[in-house]
Amino acid sequence: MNPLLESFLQEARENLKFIEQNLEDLGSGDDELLNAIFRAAHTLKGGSGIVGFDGVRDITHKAEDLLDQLRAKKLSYQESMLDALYDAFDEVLNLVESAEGAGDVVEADSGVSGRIIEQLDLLMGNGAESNIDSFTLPDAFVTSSEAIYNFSKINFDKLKNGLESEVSIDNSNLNDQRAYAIFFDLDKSCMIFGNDPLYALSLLGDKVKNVVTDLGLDAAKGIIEGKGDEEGLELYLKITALVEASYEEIEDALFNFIDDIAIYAVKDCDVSVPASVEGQSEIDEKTDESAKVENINTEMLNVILDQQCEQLNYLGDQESTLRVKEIASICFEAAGKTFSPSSDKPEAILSAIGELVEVETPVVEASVKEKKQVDISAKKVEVTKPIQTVEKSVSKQKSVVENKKPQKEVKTVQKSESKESKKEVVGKVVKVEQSSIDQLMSVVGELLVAKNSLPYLAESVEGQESEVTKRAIMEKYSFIDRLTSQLQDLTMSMRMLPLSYVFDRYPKLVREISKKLGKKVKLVQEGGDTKLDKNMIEMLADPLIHIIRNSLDHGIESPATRKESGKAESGQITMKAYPESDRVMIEIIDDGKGIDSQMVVNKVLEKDLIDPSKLDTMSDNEKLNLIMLPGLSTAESISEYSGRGVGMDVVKKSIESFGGTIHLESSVGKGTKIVLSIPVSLAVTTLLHVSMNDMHYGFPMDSVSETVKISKESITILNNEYYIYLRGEIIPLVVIDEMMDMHALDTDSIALVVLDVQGSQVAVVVNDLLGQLSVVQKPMQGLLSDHSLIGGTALLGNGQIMMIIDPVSLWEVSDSLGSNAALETVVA
Amino acid sequence: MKKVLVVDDSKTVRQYHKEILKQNGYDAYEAENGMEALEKTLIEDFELFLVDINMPVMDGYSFVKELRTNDKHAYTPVIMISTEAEDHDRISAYKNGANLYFTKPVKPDDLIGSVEILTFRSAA
Repeated sequence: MNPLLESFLQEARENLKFIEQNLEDLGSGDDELLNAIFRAAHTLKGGSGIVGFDGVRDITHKAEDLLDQLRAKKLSYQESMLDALYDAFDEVLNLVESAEGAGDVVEADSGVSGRIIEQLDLLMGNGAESNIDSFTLPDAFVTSSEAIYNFSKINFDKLKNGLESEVSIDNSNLNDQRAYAIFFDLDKSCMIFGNDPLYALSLLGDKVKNVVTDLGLDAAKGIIEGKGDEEGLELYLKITALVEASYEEIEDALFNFIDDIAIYAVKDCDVSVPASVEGQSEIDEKTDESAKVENINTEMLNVILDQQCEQLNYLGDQESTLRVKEIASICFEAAGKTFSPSSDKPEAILSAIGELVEVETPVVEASVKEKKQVDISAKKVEVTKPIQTVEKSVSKQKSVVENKKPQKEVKTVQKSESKESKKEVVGKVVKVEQSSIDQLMSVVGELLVAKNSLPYLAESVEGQESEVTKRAIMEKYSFIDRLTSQLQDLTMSMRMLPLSYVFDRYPKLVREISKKLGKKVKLVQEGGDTKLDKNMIEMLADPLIHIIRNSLDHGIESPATRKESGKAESGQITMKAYPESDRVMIEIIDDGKGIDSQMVVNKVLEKDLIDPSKLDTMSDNEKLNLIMLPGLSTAESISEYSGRGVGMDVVKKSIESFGGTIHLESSVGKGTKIVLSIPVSLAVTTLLHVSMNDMHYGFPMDSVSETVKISKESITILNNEYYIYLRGEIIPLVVIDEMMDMHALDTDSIALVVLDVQGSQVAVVVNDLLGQLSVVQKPMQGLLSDHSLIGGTALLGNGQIMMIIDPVSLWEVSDSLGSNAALETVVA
Repeated sequence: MKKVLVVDDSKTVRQYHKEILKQNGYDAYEAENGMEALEKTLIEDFELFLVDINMPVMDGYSFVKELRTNDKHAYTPVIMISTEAEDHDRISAYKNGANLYFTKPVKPDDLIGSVEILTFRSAA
């Protein structure tokens, strides 16, 4: 991407974020805030102009105007302004997002931006005088030609008067390509019969230069009153199109409508020549060699001198006169002349400037359109000076653009004129296919495995020099280890994106939903810069929307209820993200009514989703988390009780599908907190390598809280279940006897892995602890893919396979593992 | 190399102007606002200033006014660049001590053309 555009997009995001977060308080009367918002909009406008992002520029320009008028107290704040501004900046965000995707500026949807601009205009009182019969189209409709622009501005009747006579079919110039105005006089039922005039027009493609639609007053009233059109298929619009094509082509495309259209040839309208539309920066590529005087940009020389004259005219005080004199003399020197005004008086300087302009720049002189009368205090001095005109060609080729021309890509930009600002500087950013990075990642994974084989190799060295060779291999191993982990980090960081990519979507969502629900909600986001694998970010978007929707719908109470319970009328949802070792934690906290765990339990029992005896040993929090049991959420449960649980099992499933965990905390009346823990990347996992019965197993490192060795004596029996005491904590003990070599339990030191699963701890007995290992985890396939305990496999350096135990399912199935029987024999 | 200071609160604009200047053999420096720009004038000797008007902390007008009180920069060329295209905006720029006024975005040709002329003397 063009670095300039990239930096603009980045900056735009910052500004939009700021606006998004503060716009709500626009009406608070805080002038400083208003100023800051104005400045953000202003910066957006300036930047978009520079990178030629006209879609953004047009919208921000209007929004800035509105803010400026608010700032200047020309307008007073209304609620409707907030909506219009939100719409405007949302659309800008959309445009910025699509530009990020496309790597280039994108064209705005003229319909959407037109509406937004119209809305802003209305709020500023600009649109009030527009009546329904005359067409005042927003600038976004301007196509390639001023003629078309004008065309779209006049009303139908006037337009018809300005056109040549209606073209009849036996017109001799059938193939003559020119501009025609086509008026559709359609029966409103045409859509019902499948005749869509706009579709027919679309067959003409680029040849359609403009389409103007008019909804008459009566039709508008009819629509508003909802008369008759139940299917929404009736067409009330009067349509006029300006088409540049041969008559024959038009006839072909509009065959179905040929009886309902009137075709007029457009008089004196050269559609093909793009005239300059005001406000567009336009560069004329033609060089005007003759305007050059000794390598000096004469045009700019004139602009500078022109402005100096203006300065004298308006100010004329001593200080500014001296400054002008200084600048003028520099200009003269640059042009190879000496500046010798007869005195330091403004008029003398003016006439001296006039000399250079007249004498030295004959070419420019020719293009002078008007001679300005200069009025200086009492005396009137007439000075002729060139006026900078838009049509003037730029005289100098020594520009950035020109130098870079060979490298310039041909891009489809919305306005070719703005290309000049899109310098192609040799990129600091390289676009890479996502698949290449994925491949690189998997190669890095293989490399990790290959690296892990070195220690085994060292083990197997025999013979005289074995110790030396072993040490040499291990030295190389640690070197390669360091390099691979750097390589791994780098590759991973290539796929990382800040979470703000998903976070940024939510303010709008929250606003819209809360509006619909009639609730007041403030969304606070923290840690949007936390980075996560791109794939993860995409997978996270939907579950997060679900969670937020739940919070809004069932968590946050209505303003009245909140007031009654002594809370602030407006609720708050906080989204917080932060990294924690190799995972990213995302918390969604609302200050709504919370969830009563007893309600959840009742519901669970009612639906018979769990063995009631299990409930006795559950903590309140565990009961609460039953809300994510599949089958709990049905439509009726929403209205019946506190109501959360809408598809929470779906959320849980999708979060867990990419190795994440979800956990819920809530206190009735105060609010709910949902904590997601997401692995930073799927590709490489760090495992705790253990062995049981000579088989290799791995526990995901991020769920291992510690490893300990205990003696048999410290195993305790409570309620017929086995526990260990570890630093004052009672931790349930699990033995997977089918995997274990039970003889290991006879020794005095039993190796334990303490896992931290969803806020609870569980200790697993293993035969041996072998250390930490980075591996590429492969999912189980085929028949084993649904295995309840093994979540995946990995290849070890020595070629053996390691089974990766899923701590969550271990926790869930721990009861049915028959650990008690195994332990009984040991402890007894 | 001639040193030019680009004063603008927008990173995009700074980058744009700096790039144009650099590609044409100028040594471009940047400041985010008037205050920062004033601080930079104490360290470097600039031969030209490109100044935005609307900036936080210290705006372009105040910056140029302040700059002109320093004898060293009483006549240093100042080009003001703003998004406003009205006559009175240009006049205000002159009033506050600017030499030249452009409306954003400035074409690279125009910018370099005028910078070359305004720094002509120091080249000789």
